Amino acid sequence: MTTDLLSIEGVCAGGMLLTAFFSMGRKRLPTVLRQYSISSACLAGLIATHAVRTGHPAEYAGAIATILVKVIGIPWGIMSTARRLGEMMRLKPITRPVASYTLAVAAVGGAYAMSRRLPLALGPTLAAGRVIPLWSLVFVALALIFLGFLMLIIRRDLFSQIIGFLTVENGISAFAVVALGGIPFLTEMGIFAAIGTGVLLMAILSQQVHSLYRSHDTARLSDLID
Amino acid sequence: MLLFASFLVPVLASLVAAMARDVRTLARSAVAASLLAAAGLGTVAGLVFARGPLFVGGFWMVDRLAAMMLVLIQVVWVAASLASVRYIGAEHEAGILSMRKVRLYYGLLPLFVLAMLVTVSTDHLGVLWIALEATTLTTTPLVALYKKDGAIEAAWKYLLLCSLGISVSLLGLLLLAYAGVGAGLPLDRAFSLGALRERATALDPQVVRWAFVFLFVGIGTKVGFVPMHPWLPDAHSRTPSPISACLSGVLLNVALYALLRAKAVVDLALGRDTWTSGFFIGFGLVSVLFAAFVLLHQQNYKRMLAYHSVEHMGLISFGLGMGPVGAAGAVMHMIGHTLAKSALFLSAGEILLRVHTTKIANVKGLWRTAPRSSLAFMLGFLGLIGMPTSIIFSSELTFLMAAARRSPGAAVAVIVALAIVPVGVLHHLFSMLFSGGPAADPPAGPSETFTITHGVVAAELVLLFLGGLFFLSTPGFEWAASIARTFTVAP
Repeated sequence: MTTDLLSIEGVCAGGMLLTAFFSMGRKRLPTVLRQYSISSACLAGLIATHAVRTGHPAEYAGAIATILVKVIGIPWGIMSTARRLGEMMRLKPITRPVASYTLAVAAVGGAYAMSRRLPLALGPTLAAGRVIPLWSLVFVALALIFLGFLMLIIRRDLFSQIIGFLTVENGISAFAVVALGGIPFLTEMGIFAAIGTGVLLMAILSQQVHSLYRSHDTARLSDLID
Repeated sequence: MLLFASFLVPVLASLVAAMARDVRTLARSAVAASLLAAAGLGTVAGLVFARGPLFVGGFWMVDRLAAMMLVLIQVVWVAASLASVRYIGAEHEAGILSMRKVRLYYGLLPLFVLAMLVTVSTDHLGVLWIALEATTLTTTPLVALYKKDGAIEAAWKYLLLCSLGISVSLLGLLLLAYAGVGAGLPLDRAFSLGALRERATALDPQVVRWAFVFLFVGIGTKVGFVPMHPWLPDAHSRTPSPISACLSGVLLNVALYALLRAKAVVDLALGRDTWTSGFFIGFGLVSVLFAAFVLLHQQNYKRMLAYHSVEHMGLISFGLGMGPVGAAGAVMHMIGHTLAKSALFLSAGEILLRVHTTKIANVKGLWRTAPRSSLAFMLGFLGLIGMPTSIIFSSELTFLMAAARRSPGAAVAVIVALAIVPVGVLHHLFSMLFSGGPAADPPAGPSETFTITHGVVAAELVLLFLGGLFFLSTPGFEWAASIARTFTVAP
């Protein structure tokens, strides 16, 4: 049973990393959103495997909330907003796909180096009996955070920036699960609400940016430079 | 109970705003709510200073530092509510703000205040994070309120950068909790700052160091440290002036407060404060020097005030890195900056209502046409750049004396920056108030009358200049030092 759970955990972590990695070179919004959904589904799987291991009902609720909000709700909301505004399906990377993937490899490499330096291998609660070393799961979480930041830097459209932010947030959620075994339920729900509200505000602002500038290109947002 | 009853007041004020039908009712209910909450939280703060820290359940803790922050938040809320009667009323009458936007304004302002009150009163890392993020979420619509002239751009940068910063800080908070679990705390207790302080010596120093790095970069974005600051001048200069007063005057301090709470745990875990001090001194110096040079060529007076916030957050940070005496100076500076900056943004609002521009080049001869606002603006700036006897004079004197012993080179760098800033400030100030020329013809209009905003600003300036005398005295220094002891470790 434990070995099966660890295998599932490994598959989920690998799925999160691969989908986030391959979204770096994609140029169409529906594709990037689909990959974010899959990445979030893997996160839900990670939370669910932990819920099975601990048997805490609150963690099942966390997995269900992840599916409802991140796998279904947010991608649907962003896609609806984009359809309403029209002409938004093609995203605006400032690098070619090969360069984007090269930078993504560098980001993942940086996450690997950092995860080996983080002194988490002595994790008291979860490290015992693990087949998958804790640092490798932390590496996946950090890689997602780095890839999210990279997306924010190499894309200059509003929706890619929202997805970059959400990728960072998925990485932090994954970190909470693998390093701490989750966080207290009420706190987790509060964090969910805060992030959901933030993304909603970003969607509203992106509509307002589009109505003002007739574009979703963030390079147009340069009136306030000193 | 009084603490939670006071928390209910902003909630009720927000509900009233959603239902009110006219601007007058909205303004009156906002003022009444701010005064009522001020009475409640003032009493809580008084009890804390008289009897010691207040602990409620495992989630709430009000010590001297938190009590000071509660008072500062209330002072700025009362000032902003009173000034809003005039400012928002005038903008509504002029057709700049529709009734829907006025309702949004009065609905979000108390929720923003509530988020700040929760941030400074909680002992739980998770609640602190949620409340700090809520300060961003409640103010983003206020930054975007005018929907023109870069307001949407400012709101986008503000939301994205601050949310990202706060997300990074969540990683730091999780690492602190991880260290707590490693030290034998159950998961629920590992999120309690009090529990982490109690078990600090058992925390893994390496984990705690990494936690602080993420916290400093993340929350430092919200504080406005250079180079994570680009959202700050945009957001603070694009909102209605009473909101600018809240953002600049007190929200930056609230974010810094969160960092101080983390610093206390990390310093205890490491057994010394020199490691965290390096961050405060480094980022503080860079922020002060960068802002000093930017201020020399600012063309917009609200933006100039916003860059002053970057400079002053840098100064406070520098003071925090200078040991217990520097920390006492930093506490004084937090109070002085709150009073000076809120007074200045409220005065800037009065000027904006009169001249309808924020460009320094387009404001000439203001002393003749708006003497009250000009006097308030001038005194506010003189207080801000450290003229005796303002609190900022006392605070700078205190932490520079500490710096001269601990780090003379850094002290010289700060003195150079403090010498540069008045050059830019006074040049712009004299240009706005006293210069004439072709562009000097003031806009035709009635002569300036004494408004409620002038009254509020006058009260803040009196506190700013009398407070400096208090802090120069031994009891004043001891009082500031007693607050600083809540987040410093004895050498």
